[in-house]
Amino acid sequence: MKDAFKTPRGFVDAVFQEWQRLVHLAGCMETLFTVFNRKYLFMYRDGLHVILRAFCSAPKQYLFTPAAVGVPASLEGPSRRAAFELYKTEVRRAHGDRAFVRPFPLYSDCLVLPNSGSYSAHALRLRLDCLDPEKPVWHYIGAILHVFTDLGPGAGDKATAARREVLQRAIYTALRDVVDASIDGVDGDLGADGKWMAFFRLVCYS
Amino acid sequence: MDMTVTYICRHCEREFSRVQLCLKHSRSSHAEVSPAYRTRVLCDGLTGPDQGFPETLVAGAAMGRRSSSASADVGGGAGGHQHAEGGMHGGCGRAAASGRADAVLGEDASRAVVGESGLLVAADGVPAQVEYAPRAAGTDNDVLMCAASDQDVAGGSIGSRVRTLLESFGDAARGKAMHGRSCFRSGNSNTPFLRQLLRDVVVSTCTGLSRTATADIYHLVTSTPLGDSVDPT
Repeated sequence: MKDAFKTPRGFVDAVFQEWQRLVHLAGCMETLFTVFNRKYLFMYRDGLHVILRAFCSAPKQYLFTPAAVGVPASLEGPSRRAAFELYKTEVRRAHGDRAFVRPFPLYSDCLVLPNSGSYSAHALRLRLDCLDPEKPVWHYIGAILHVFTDLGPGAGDKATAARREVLQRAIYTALRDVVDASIDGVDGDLGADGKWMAFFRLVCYS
Repeated sequence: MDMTVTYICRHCEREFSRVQLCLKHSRSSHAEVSPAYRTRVLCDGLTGPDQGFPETLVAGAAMGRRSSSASADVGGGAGGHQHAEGGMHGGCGRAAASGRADAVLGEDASRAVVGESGLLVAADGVPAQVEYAPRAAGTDNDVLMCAASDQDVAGGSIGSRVRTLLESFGDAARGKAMHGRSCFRSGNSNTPFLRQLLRDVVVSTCTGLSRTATADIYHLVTSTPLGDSVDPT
């Protein structure tokens, strides 16, 4: 190790460079929200890119095709089927049997990302229901900055409005391309299974 | 029957509810395209400019703003049927007449005004080239499963208006990659041991540790003798 890094500074720079490389591989982006003359940094990943990469690289997928067998009961819940039977029929009528609707829930709860002293953020994450239910994976697609309440009259209402705006803009920014994919569909190559056209639909946000 | 008018970017087929947003998108997302071809917009729903004046005509006239430069070298080779005057009008007259001033537009989008020649001009002074694709009478919106059933009087669905509002903030357009250029350089960590060490440090500490704390790790690791199980090669 001493041969590679002569000084502590070299090691520190290498760690930072490795961190940037991982950030690059994850496709992390950042943008700035300006709400009530205050700036909020929002770090996110392209939701469509995350979904497609997770879907195409998953070892086991359930496409809910007419010929699908062995689909776990936990994935074929009655509420999900009732909600998407119409969409499924409509999509297949327009695009053929190789098109399918893929629901996904979105969560942003009270989980707070590790606070290093300067930032405190809530994670925005999604889950793909079509993958193996035995190994559920959460995909983090954004970190919504916490909006603190200032002092003074009316600060509470102002903070509430700021939180709502930040949340809505954060969700739209992260899922901007997913909105298009839910309308026009997106092609996915599943290797041996061939090419499919997926329509991703947000079914639940909590 | 009420009909939704959409403006489609000819470069990426992305749909917008207002022509200014489409022009703004073209300028930001397709900057590499020549200005002569950048402003190509397909207007889906109108038969031509005679069906309505562009909304920017009203807004631009009200503001009294004029663009000084309307490039003359624009418009060559455009496909489809363009307007006889050059195919450079665009917009939705119904939207302008119904007073959709509540839609917040970005700064760049609001700069799409009427030039000296009366043409719709984008923020960079390039006239917009709008093609028209009228729908047959009685046909519904051809966008599958996206339009809300309740159309408002302005002609756009609630979803499209919300999207227009959120799009006008320009958050996604301002988005940039978090990593710097240094991530593309090859580092000194060219052995499996060093790569694993770096990865462990990054994963375990992320950015929660300061540079001083990371330097302390260096001192700790280099002062600790390697065990027999570790292969430094």
